[in-house]
Amino acid sequence: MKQTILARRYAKALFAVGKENDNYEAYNEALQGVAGLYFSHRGVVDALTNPLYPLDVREKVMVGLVNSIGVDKIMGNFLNLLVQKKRAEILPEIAEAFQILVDTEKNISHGTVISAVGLSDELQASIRAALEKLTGKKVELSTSVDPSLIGGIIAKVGDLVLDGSIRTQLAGLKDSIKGRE
Amino acid sequence: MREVKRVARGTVLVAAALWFALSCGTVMATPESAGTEGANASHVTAAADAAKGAADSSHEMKHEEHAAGEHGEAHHDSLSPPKVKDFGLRVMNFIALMIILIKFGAKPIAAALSSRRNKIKTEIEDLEARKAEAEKSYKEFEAKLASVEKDIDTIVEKAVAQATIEKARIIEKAEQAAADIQRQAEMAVQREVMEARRKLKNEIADQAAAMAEELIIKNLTAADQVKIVEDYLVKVEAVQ
Repeated sequence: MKQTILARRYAKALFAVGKENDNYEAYNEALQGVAGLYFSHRGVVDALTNPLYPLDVREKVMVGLVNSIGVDKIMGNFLNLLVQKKRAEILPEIAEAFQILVDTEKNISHGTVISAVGLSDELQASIRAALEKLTGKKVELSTSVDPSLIGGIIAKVGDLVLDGSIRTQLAGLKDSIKGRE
Repeated sequence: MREVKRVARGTVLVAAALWFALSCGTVMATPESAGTEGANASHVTAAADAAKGAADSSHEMKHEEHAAGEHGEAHHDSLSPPKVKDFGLRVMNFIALMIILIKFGAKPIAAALSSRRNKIKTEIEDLEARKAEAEKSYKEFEAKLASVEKDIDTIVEKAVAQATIEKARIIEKAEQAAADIQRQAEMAVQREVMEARRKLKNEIADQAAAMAEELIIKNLTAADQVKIVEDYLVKVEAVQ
């Protein structure tokens, strides 16, 4: 179960400290790195969150982790605090919320473009430019291919969705034929 | 019980009267009264005893003829003093008996007769009253019968009128029901037609979209893909 509100609260606190120290980008990198470990190494999650292990053991694991990634004292205390407060399991959500805060701070939006065929760099740049123009923010795009679109693209940035796929146009055509007397 | 007593008393009185009459007759006819008294007595007996009947009369007539033949002289001694005395005693006896009878028998007989008369009168009155009542009932029933026929006619007329109204109502209802059914059938037909049309249109749309998709996939080139994206971006920028 996602603890979005709680994670956002922790992220905001850490972001406030990082912004004060002008170190929030480093905190973001550290959080994303630890969150990445949660997905790549399930043993790390178990060692940090399993209540069967004594709390001091879990704290030692986190201390070791902090030492290995070499973060500053504030970040280290933050990660240890998560273990002490038994909130280590929501660390990925905190990282996600922190990323949003950083992107907002840097005026960056993350978007996805789904196309029927692979897009060239020029085309991706054109799409990014169009999306930046639409949103007024810097857009970082991730692309994927879905042949069922037949042709065209579907671009999503935040709440904005641009659907220029042939599949959607055919569906619209079908609906217009069905709906017309 | 009282009636029986009265009847018995009357019977006794009648029997006594008969007995007296017969005894008188017997006295008159007794031969021992005088030598030729038998002939005279037979005259008295024939005159006095009317109760003897016709047979006795004829017998006495013969006896008289026979006595006249044998004792022609006896006719002159028929009212001899002993006979008159005996007759007087008998009459007195009869009178006494009649007095006794009247004294003791008149009232019961009169009462019995009166009672009988009253009873018969009462019965006649009762019967007449019942007759009158029966006649009255007969007339009433006759009148009722006449009125019943009239009532039957009225009821039949009412029933016919009601049946006519009911018939009209049923027909109207049936016509309304028929109209409703027809309207519902028409609506059902329209619905079916619309549903069929919709299904057909959907099928045509699906087929058209499938054919278009097939054609596009068949004829779509890489350059077309790029052009589609570029055209779309131009369209998006134009909208903005």
